Amino acid sequence: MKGLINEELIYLDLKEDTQLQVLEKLSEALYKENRIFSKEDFLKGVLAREEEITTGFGNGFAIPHCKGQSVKTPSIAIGRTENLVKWNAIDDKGVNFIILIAVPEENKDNIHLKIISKLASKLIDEEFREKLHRTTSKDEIIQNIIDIKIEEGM
Amino acid sequence: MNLVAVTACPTGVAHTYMAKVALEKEAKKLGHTIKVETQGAIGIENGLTQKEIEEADGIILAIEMNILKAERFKGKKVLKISVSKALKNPEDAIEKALA
Repeated sequence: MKGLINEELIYLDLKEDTQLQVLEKLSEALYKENRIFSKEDFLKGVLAREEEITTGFGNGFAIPHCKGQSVKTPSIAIGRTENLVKWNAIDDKGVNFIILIAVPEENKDNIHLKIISKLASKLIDEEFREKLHRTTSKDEIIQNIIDIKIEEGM
Repeated sequence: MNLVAVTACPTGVAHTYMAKVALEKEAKKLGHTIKVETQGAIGIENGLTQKEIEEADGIILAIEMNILKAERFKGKKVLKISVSKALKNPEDAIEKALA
């Protein structure tokens, strides 16, 4: 079973400064890592979801996501941008920490979905957010996700 | 006051859980207690019992799809809103549910 994330799926200093550019970059990473079947279809799904309801959760975080047939295996790609990106966020502020979530249409994989849902919930926790904003290494980010697994006893 | 809520969105990976924490945070701020059941891609978590529903002063269904075990709320006064509404303005949702 593949892990949710690896170092190739994390960018800590993205220069991209529009929502579309960031989503393209992260989708490209998911495609290269063999996590999605089609970058175009996946991106279309992500943008459609974004149009229905913003994924800008405030405090600089966004959790764009797509569940569908374009996804091979549950995955997360993370991008931290140098500049604030406009995201129509609920607090009307820009976003600089983007967690792109890919979930296959058929879900047989509860553990990974559980981690994803816990990750979304944990973003309400200021301490956790600060930790992610401050992080200096990809390892640290991966460790934070492993910690969720441990906390939940998975 | 004591509230119960269910959150559910079609994708069930992010907004369901974001709305849950938004409601919990706001309820705490306003001095109320709330238990929020989520119905996401992994199914029901933190499920509400019939007793909890009966005893609640307010019920919020922040849902964008048909939920499982909907019969629990039959005949009850519920505030039904979209997930995005609960996310954007949890205070309004809580006040309306208690009104």
